[in-house]
Amino acid sequence: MQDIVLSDNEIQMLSVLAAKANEKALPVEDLIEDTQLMYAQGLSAIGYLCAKGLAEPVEIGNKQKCVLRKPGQEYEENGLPEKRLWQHLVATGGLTLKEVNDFLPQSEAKFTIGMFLGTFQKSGLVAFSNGKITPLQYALPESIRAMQRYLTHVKETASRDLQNPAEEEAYRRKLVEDKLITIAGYRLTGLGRQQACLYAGAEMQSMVGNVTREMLLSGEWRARQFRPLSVVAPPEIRLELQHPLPRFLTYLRRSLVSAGFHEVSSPILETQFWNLNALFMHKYHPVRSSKHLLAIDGISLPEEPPKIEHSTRVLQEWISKEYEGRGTSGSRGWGTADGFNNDQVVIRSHSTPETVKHLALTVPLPVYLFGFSRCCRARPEKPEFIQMDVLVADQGLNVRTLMGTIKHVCRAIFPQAVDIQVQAAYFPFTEISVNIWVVYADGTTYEVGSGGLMRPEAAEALDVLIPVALIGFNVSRVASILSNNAKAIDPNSIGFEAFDETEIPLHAQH
Amino acid sequence: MPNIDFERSLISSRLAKAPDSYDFRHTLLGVKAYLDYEDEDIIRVNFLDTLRPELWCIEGLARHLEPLPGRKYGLHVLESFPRIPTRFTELPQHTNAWVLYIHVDPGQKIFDDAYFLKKVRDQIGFGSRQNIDVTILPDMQFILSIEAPVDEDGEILSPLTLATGTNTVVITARDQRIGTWLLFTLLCNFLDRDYQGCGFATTIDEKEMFAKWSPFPISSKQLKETFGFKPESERFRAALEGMHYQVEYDGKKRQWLITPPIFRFDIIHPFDILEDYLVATYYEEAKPEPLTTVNAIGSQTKRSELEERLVEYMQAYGARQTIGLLLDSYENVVERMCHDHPERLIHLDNAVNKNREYAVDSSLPPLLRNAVHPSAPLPPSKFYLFTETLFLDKQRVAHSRWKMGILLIGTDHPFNNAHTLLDALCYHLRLDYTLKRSGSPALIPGRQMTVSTGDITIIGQFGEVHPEVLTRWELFYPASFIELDLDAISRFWAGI
Repeated sequence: MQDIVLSDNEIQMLSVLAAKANEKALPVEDLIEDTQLMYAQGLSAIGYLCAKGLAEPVEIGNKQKCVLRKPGQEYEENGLPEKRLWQHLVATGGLTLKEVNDFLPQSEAKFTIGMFLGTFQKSGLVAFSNGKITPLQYALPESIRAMQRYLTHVKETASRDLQNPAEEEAYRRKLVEDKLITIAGYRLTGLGRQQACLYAGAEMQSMVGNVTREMLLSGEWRARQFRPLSVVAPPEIRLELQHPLPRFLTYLRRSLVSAGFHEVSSPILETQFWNLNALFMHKYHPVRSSKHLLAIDGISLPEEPPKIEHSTRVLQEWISKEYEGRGTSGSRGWGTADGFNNDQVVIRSHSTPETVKHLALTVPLPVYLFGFSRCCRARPEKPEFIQMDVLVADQGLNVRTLMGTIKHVCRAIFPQAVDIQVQAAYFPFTEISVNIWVVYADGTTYEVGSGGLMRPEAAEALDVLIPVALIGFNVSRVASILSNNAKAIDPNSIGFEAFDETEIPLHAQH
Repeated sequence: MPNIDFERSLISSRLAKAPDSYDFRHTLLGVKAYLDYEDEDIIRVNFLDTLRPELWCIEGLARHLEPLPGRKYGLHVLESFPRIPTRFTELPQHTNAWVLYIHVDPGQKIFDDAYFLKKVRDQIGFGSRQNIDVTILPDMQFILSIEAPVDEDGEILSPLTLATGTNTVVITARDQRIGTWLLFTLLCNFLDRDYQGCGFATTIDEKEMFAKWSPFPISSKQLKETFGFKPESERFRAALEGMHYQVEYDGKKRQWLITPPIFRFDIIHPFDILEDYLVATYYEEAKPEPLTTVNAIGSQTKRSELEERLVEYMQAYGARQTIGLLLDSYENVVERMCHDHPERLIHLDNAVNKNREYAVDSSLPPLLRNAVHPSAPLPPSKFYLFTETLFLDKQRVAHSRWKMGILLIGTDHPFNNAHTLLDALCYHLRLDYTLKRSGSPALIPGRQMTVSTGDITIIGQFGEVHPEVLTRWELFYPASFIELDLDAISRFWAGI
């Protein structure tokens, strides 16, 4: 007979199956009834028995259950948005509509305001006056309390609560749903019945499971046999030790290093000068507004060495001249550079400052640089993102060699692409601006990034008297094409569940 | 990248091209725009170019898609009208004003420009009426008093329409180029509607500003050097004239003289004109050519080499790598960490999301956040991450440090385990180190150390996480924490 090694729990479950479910399949709940096994242990043991061919699952029926949908789970855990809003209203004593809007996440604000504030007012629970909403009672309104109670009931019992008046609304708001659950039962296979006979003997009781300190001291183990243990089957999906995001960055890094580029990096805190002004960004461009840029007033950055500090001041002066149309690039400028706020500290809002700063301050020309930057913007969804920037400053650059450079970079990153195409685009600090598309042999095309020649005003002011090519990629976007699990490569995603499912892409293994 | 809604009826009345035709969509690409959405009332166009505001109204779009025959839009359009001696008795500080006098005949169609102005203000005026505003007064007003406009939340768009008869259109703006452009563009729009201009006035010295729209000289050599190819002359001329440029060629000087239309805000350098040629010809001539000077092999930063080295060790150690958020909530960064100096944290006043308004100053909050995530493996577990951290010193100078954080959860002897791992990592990196007791409120007093090298430079810390912190995070297992400052270590590390 085949030598099958079983764990303690599997042996116990095998015996129960032999006693209770030799012919008729039973659910796990019934099987573990008279054992010491927890539900999870029983389920795991039965799973292994099935994998080893000793037991088999059989569908024994269906059951209608009421379960929480994703928003329902979230509201059950964190509280309904209207409940959080009410508590905040009571805690603060009153809020303007804007404050209500700011308090709730954007995805909830519109619905909650539209749905509840009017109803609260009609029910006399809040008053609107002078643009402020004031609660007229401290206690949570009963309708909210009932809904919260209903969600908890569903979570705990997986059943409806017909007595609760919130039930209808819970369905209407799609917080709960009815699901038909298949009930699985388990029974022994022929092989299982044979194995069960082997373990039925009383001698099993005398075998040593765990070797204990007491056993070693007393020498009790000498008179007994060791029960063989199972080699735990390897999981179907091997757990990765490296997170997909840094691993994907390593792939991009190696691709670009082998294509002849040098990596640079710099801190995420930057001055307004390097983040936007040095790139000749228009003073009223929307990316400068507080709806985009995370600027921090009243703080400064560590002093740079005197030489760099001096160079930066000189560059600031030159940029101002270019902005005002008094520079040497031939530009007529945007207008007065007053209010440029060069020293204001910001969180880098895009990746270009990283490579451009290196270009201006540290390296001799020509240069071929790239860098990864975590960047942040004032937006409710995914405020953090990672960009990769490639910079080339070379006398030989023109529109055609820019296209050649874009192709060279894309070939390094997308080796299986059969063509690289461009389409006119707009970026405030490049003139000759294109979006980049890669084309695969099956005809699919993807927009992967953008590029262009740095505005001559910026290059001239930074004392780079040759053309500069800038090529940028959003790492998540590139990952969505190259990885089978782009979700895991979002820097805003935390936890472990996503990357367990990631297959290592072939191109990244090389 | 503004999205602009056009009324379908307006488009149909002004353009022969059907919005759902290939021709319409293809021509839009010539102004870096594409059709984003349409229904029976609305056609939404997404304009990639933020600095082409003249296109965000029906006249601007029509000028590109179906130009009125024979219409030219040079400076002569404005200069043909008299400059009216207008007096401003009151004007807000740092604000400039421009005035257009326009006559509308009875029976002429009246258009509402409020939506166009709002879009312009949102995109190149930070949404504030103090930066850009337009008011329309009846008749010809020669004495004007302008009060500082007030911004209101949730502003309802009031109609901005001319009346039959003569109107005084007053533009105020802080930026002179923006105001001048708006004057030009409104004038072009009014003339395209067949209204009559009667004169203009302004508070700025207009000569210097108007000269920004004078011809740009571009030599044939510059053309060839910028493009890497020489465009065929007639094609070059036709493409630009199709975009309302006035184009002349001076054969003696081998030079083009190109005048931008006055409704263009964005043309300030010859490069802007050259790009327009490429866009108008869909980059057909820009065939890729290799740049021959790219090096055979590049290099990575010392920090990324160091990171890769540490990842190799941690993989062999069996720890799992995670990632962390740079921005987190007050609750996670301050309250749950028992932070004793919250004033040293970087707070983002304009963070839209309350859950992302503080920058982390240590790798411990993101590690703990991962540890209590529902998907986290059951202890004993060990994982690590690399993250940037930001903090302020006493002088409110902001510092940034790239750190590696390691969390060991549910192990016996947490403090000694952390010390053993730290020692192994330092040995692996060939770093000599010394230890000194530290006082982080997140770690148990007497069970935490700072790690230094070269006697004084602190390169990290380790210790046992304080039960108060664990309890606040609802992580009910003992845990130890190691943090390495990779920026500091990079300076000492000899490399691979």
